[in-house]
Order: sequence, then structure tokens, then C-alpha cells
Amino acid sequence: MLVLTRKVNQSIMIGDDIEVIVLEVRGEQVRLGIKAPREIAVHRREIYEAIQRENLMAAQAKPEDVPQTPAPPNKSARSA
Amino acid sequence: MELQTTRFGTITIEPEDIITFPDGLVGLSHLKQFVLIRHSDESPFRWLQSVEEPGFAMLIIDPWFFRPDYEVVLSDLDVERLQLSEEAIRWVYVTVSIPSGKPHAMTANLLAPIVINGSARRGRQVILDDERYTTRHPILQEMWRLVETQQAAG
Repeated sequence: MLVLTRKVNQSIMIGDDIEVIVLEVRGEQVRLGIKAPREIAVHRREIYEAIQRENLMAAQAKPEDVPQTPAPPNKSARSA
Repeated sequence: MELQTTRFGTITIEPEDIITFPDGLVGLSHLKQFVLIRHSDESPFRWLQSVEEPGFAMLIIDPWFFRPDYEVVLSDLDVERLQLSEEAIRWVYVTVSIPSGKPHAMTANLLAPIVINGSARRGRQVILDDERYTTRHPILQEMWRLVETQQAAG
């Protein structure tokens, strides 16, 4: 992994089109600005991973586990 | 044409049934072609069956079935990738996770809906920038809340 040291308002270029700028450093938090072409998706890694996990879980479902229609709401469903 | 699937056996589809996801799914960018399969008549559930991988089919549901206030705001990029015009037919589904042996604890991912341009047969899994939504909304609890809201409204 390439490791670079940057100060606030300094940036790095990834290829010709993507720029990552350090906007602010406060304690353990770092604010980054990202300039990238619109077709490049930029997401927080944990959100991306959570969605991937749900996609894989949705693909584990078996037809026999699926109710004909979700059970109408009742007390037992509420406490479940 | 015939399509081999692990769950549903061999099914017959028309070429125009195939929905192309130019960017695949989130974390699964290699899967680009799908067909929608109804779970049964009257059911809010569907399956998004991969054309490329017989064993891959995601359980999905109509989000407005349990969240009538659900809102999907698309970015310019989403509209462009979906080739979405004003008059295009659009469908929205969300993925459903069923914990093993606990169908009552099923959850829906409202943060990353599957949006389909039914007219152009193009699809995209959109990531919303909306703090109201998470990847795990308990579906039955949402339905219960809906009933309570309706009762409170008289």
C-alpha cells in the first residue's frame, strides 16, 4: 500500500480525474473532499459492505421461507 | 429462450424479459442481467434472478407494501445510467433478508433500492443519501407501525 503524508488543503491525484483533498483534521476525524467524474461511485466503505452483505443474504433466501404475504400485524409479530 | 435456475428449474423467458444492470449490483458488479420472477400472484415478493448465474436470485419486495411514505430520490447519474425519461415505466424493489429459521424477523434494505426502467429494461441498485433509511428495516414492525399510525389518524 502506498502511504503519503498530507497537510490540510493538500490533495492527492488518482489518475488524471480523481482528486482527494484533506479538508480538516480534528482529533480522530478527518474530513475529505473527493472530486471525481460522475460515473465513479464514491461511498463510505462500511455502507458499501453493509449493502453487499444484504444482497448476499437476500440471495440466500429459499422460496419455502417466504410467506405468501407477510403476516398481518398482530401482538406476536410486534414482540417478535 | 430457456433459462436454467437453481430455485425455479428451467423457465421460459422472452429476450425482452431480460433487465440489464450496466453496473451490476453493489458488491456484485459482475452480475449484469436479470429477470423478475413473481413469488406468486398477489404476493408483494419478487425474485431478481440472475441470467448469468443459475444459483443467484435475490428476494425483493415492493417497499410501499410496508412503508407507504418511502421516498427514492435519484441522482443525475442514476437517471443517466437508467436512461430514465419522464414517461418511462419505473419499478422499485428492495432486497429482503430472512434470518435462518426466523421469517418473522425479516428485514428490508431501504438504503439501496433496486430501481428498474421498465420501458428500457435497465436496472440499477441506487444508494440513497437519506438518513431515514438503513440496510435493515424489520418488515413486520414497520407494518405494525403503519397500522398504529392509521388507527391514530382515525
